[in-house]
Amino acid sequence: MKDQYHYGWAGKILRVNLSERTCQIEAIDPYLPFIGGRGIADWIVFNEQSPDVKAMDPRSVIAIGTGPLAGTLVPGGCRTNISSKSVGTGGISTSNVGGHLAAEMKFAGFDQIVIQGKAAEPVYLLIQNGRAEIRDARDLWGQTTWKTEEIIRGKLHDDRIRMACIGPAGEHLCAEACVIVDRGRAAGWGGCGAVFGSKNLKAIAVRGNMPVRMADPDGFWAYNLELLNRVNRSRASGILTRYGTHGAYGVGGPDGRTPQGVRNHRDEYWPGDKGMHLREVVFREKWETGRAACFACPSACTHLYHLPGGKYGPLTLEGVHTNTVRALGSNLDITDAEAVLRGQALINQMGLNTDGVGSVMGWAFEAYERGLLTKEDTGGLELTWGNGEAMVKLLEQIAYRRGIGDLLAKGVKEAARTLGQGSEEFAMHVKGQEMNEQSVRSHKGWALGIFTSTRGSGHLNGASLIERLGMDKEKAKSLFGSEAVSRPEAYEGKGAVTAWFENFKAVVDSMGVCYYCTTWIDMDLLGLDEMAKLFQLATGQKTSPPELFRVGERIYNVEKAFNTLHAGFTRKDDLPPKRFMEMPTSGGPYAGARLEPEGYNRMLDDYYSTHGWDPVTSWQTAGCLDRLGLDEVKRRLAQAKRLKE
Amino acid sequence: MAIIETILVHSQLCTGCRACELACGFRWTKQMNPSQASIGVRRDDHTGMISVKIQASCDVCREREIPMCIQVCNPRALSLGRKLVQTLTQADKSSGEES
Repeated sequence: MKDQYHYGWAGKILRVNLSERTCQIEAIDPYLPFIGGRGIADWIVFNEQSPDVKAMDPRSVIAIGTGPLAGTLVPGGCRTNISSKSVGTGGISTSNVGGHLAAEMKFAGFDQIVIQGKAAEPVYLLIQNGRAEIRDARDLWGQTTWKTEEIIRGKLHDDRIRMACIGPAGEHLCAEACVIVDRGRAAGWGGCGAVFGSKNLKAIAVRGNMPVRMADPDGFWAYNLELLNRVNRSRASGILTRYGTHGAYGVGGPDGRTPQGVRNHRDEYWPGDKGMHLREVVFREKWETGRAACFACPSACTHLYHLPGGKYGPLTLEGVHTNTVRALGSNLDITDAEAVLRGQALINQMGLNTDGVGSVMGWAFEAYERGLLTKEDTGGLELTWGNGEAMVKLLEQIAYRRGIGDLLAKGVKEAARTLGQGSEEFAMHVKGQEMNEQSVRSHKGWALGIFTSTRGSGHLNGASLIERLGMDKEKAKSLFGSEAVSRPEAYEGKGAVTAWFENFKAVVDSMGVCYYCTTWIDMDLLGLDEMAKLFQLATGQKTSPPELFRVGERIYNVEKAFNTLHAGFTRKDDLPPKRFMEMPTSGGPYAGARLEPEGYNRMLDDYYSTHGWDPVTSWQTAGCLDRLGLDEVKRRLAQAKRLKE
Repeated sequence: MAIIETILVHSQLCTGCRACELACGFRWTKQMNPSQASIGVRRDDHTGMISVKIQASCDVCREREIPMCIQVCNPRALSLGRKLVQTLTQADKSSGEES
């Protein structure tokens, strides 16, 4: 008799149609070749949303899910993935978020929640122990994410309910709206908060008491104790524990040495006397009050802060991450750390993506400097570099689409198209997704990973840290065909590295594990070997590192095909904004650094060839898809005449 | 009076990850099952303060040298300690019954 339980997986997909107000349960089994989380979500969105359906159309599909290692003792087994069509790019959006939601979903009996349709009035979804219901959320509409959590928990008299919810930014369909989990964690990309908003979906609240079964419980326990020890020994994990991801802010040496995106990415040198104000040690010494871990995570990279008074206090918040410090700091030339803290709190309360609003505010500040936006346009706000007060006010205006905020809530690409006057030239986005990055000019492989990412931009796909961590020359040569992969300035081997990490990250996101507990940050942490072993111990299904890697390739190829079919992206869409090629870094150890077109294109050729894609169009080839067994993907691309035979 | 082993909680060190709940639930059920744990972690969102409660069902993993919750507590918010407990003598019990 077939075992009635799943090991590792909860075993079920919840399907919700908000137009028809129905909830149905489906077995996860047919989708298991894509593991879970991002893999299954991508496959569902790819199959169920046709290219003519826009991101905020009621017919659009959004899938929220996790993988077989979430809700377990695996270090970092806490991640939820949200896949949908991207508001900004029109291609795929995959967002990944920590906290306790993923575990609670498993304990409530679901691996994946797939939502279609649009509710007539605001609603929230309540999921408890294998059951789901659609509830009235009219009284929640207009509330911040923090208040929404508080109200729902209060109504249900249960402080252990976990939530994914949107704030005013999602309700107002801002392109930069995200989904917030546990107050301070964000699924930031692709405007997924606006997709929630377009469906009148305020929140998903989850609570469960069901077990997650392990195929080999004792083996799983013992192996996780070993992994826990490895995390404890890891220097990189130690930095996360001590400072959070903000610890990466000063990596590279004393202030002024670490490249930061400065003044809307026109430069990557921020002198030490400015950077000093926003160093991780400053935040730690002045305002940190504690730490808050995601589910079962030994690193606990989220830190708590309290501003007792001053211009922006009293204020208690959590999760100030390094990219927020950059987006609200060097990006706008702001050195006022208290304004950055206030900005971070607002971003979480309003449900905004820090990189998205950072990018669009950088564009607005530059447009103001150039006289393309005036005080009359901004309602009196002086968008001058370094003006922290203006930044704080602007954030709220964007979330509520007030005044100039209405323009900026379109997303940077669309705002620049609306304003025109050449402002498109300094709208910093990739494929329509806003960008907020650092080390783009100096670290060539890192840059390539940002620009080739299927979700538009961002360093959390193929951008590798090998240029910072270093790698043994022989290992580098055997894995990537070049000893140069550790050298930031080299172009050689970077295409292969980027393609490798793109596939690897797809595996990590499908397992439900945090990238910060993997070989991405430390070669001694979870890699493919460890993932394969954990997968077998948890699910009882045999696999191997090469087999898992192949699943990662399949997932990344599904995303690539989605982009080709829905957004028509080609090679030109994998190129960086001109600024990174034409405006070199002005000072510091990387003075003069820029992306040379010839070198960048060489990396891109190498990248396409590693993936098995056509270097001229960037399209997938029939041979690549045959090798991966993606017949349906191949059929659709061929039908659209976007397949290289 | 008697001295017994107990789990000591240093809640100011706790990060609220709930690995202890998983470990304890695992000890009882061999599953990832925090709802069956004898230890519970709660957080006050407004202050960030965390409280850890150990229920009467905790037997300090009597078959193990180190209780499982302590083994997985990375921030070292849990440790093994001893506490004095009052034990009831036969005479105490009898007098209790009489009153």
